[in-house]
Amino acid sequence: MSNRTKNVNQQPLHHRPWKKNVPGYLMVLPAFLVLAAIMFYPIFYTIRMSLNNVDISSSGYIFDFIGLQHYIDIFTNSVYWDSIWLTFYFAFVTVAVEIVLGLLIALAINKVKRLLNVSLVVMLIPWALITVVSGQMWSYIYNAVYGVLNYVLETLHLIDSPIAWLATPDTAVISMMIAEIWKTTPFVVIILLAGLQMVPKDQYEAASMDGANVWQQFWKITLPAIKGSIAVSIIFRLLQAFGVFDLPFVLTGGGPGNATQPVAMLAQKSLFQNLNFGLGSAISVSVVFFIIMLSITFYPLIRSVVKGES
Amino acid sequence: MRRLSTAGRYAVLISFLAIIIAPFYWIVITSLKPASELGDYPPSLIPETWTLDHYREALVDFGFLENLFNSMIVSVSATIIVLIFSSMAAFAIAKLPLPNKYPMMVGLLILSMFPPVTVAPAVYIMLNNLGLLNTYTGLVIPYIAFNLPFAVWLLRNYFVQIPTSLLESARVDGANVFTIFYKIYLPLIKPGLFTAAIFTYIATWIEFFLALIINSDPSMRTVSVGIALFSGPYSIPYGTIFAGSIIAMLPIVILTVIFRKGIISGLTGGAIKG
Repeated sequence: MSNRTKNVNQQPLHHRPWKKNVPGYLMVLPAFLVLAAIMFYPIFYTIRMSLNNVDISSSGYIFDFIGLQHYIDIFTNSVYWDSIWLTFYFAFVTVAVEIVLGLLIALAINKVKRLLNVSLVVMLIPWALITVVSGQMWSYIYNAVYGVLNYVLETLHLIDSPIAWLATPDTAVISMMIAEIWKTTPFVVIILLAGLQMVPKDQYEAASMDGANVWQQFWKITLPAIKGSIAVSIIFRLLQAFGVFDLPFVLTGGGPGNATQPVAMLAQKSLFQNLNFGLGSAISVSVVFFIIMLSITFYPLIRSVVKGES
Repeated sequence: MRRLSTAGRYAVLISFLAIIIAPFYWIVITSLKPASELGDYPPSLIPETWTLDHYREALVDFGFLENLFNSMIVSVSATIIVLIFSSMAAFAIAKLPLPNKYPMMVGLLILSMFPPVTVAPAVYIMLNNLGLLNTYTGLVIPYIAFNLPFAVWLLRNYFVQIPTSLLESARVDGANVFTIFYKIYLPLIKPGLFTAAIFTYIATWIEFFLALIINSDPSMRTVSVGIALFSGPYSIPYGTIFAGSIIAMLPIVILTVIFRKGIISGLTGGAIKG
């Protein structure tokens, strides 16, 4: 691609070097303006609010500069750290389970010939499912009094009496994770299947002839070939899981106590229930900080995605 | 470690599909049971009496029809504008001379992963100052911003595959860049435009966080907010919630089934041909 772009660059029509870029700039402009107005500017405005007490009056919002006080408040508050811990815990556990489970399933069904097209459609449905619907669905399934999960587990003699899944912190967190894993594993399977389909078959044949066992073939041929697909799944899922909000909002409301309250929900409550915009903004800014840290940590993965696509 | 037999492979596939489908079966069945059966334990796996009452309640009594209408307006508007802006930007990045394309693509990728909560406080105040809370425009604008990065990525990959020689020869003939984009390149990436449209439509249809804070007024709620905030006077009206959910899911399930090939190639960069 780069060679072709160079050809356009070298067109003799343009004498002044900056002029050749003008059409490109003009066509990028509308998208850039929207992103500037709704992403870049708000991030800076949110940082500004986080350094102020924001009061709502009849004439608008009044800013009263207080420096880093909101940050001191949140960083010394155990509710904040609980929500940060839960968010990381939720993101890493669900993504790890999804990748391992997704890889096992993708490897198992990779060579299936019949049913694959129908299966792909079925796997797409949870991806397109409204998360809020998924939350309502699981809250009914987990219900302590009439939930079908207890009925199934009792029928299989795995439990003796119904369990109130969403009533204790540990089971509530696990229940939330299971609902998330159920919804997103099919997405990971699709991405990994795509990677597996690109592994050349003759490599396996050659490896078999050389006496490599299945395990060696997996490490030497399969895994290197699908590294890119795994990278895509990890980045997309990790950063998406970090913003988790919809599922606990419906499933648990963040409870019991604050056991299932991710940082996005803590911010939403400070902002729109307590109407404390300064404090809520500080929480939002901390989310930006964590996302940047995650992006830096996983930059090698991000770079491989961008390179792979170019 | 042994190779899995063919039967084993099918067993894994069928179990996986069963686990995906079982919860859906459960909400469909629940939506068709009369209210009196919903609290039964053990629950009946097939309704003893079949009824469509919950569907009538959702659409008529709970005003779900209004939520559907709001979602439709917001998703269609956002999708059209995302398509226009993203196709222009993607064309420029793929085919026109521009500095810093690589940082641009990395920036878009990272932006596409920012959760709405990061900008929510400022966006809320900006929209409030402009009087755009509880309006379609107020929700459509942030939806455009949040869906642009991915659409640009997707469409760029389609534009890159089309030869640049088309651009060069049309330029030699004196056509300007915008005409070339509109008349020559855009028709060639129609499958990409469909895929970008489906992704945007689905993403905006299922979005919850922004819809909850920006359009909280009952008359302006979208389907996801409607479903999340459904509540009855005594207990959670699950039958009605699931009837509403199924109605809300139908349009995107149909779109997904029809456009499955485009969606899968969009998700996987064209590796699986559906």
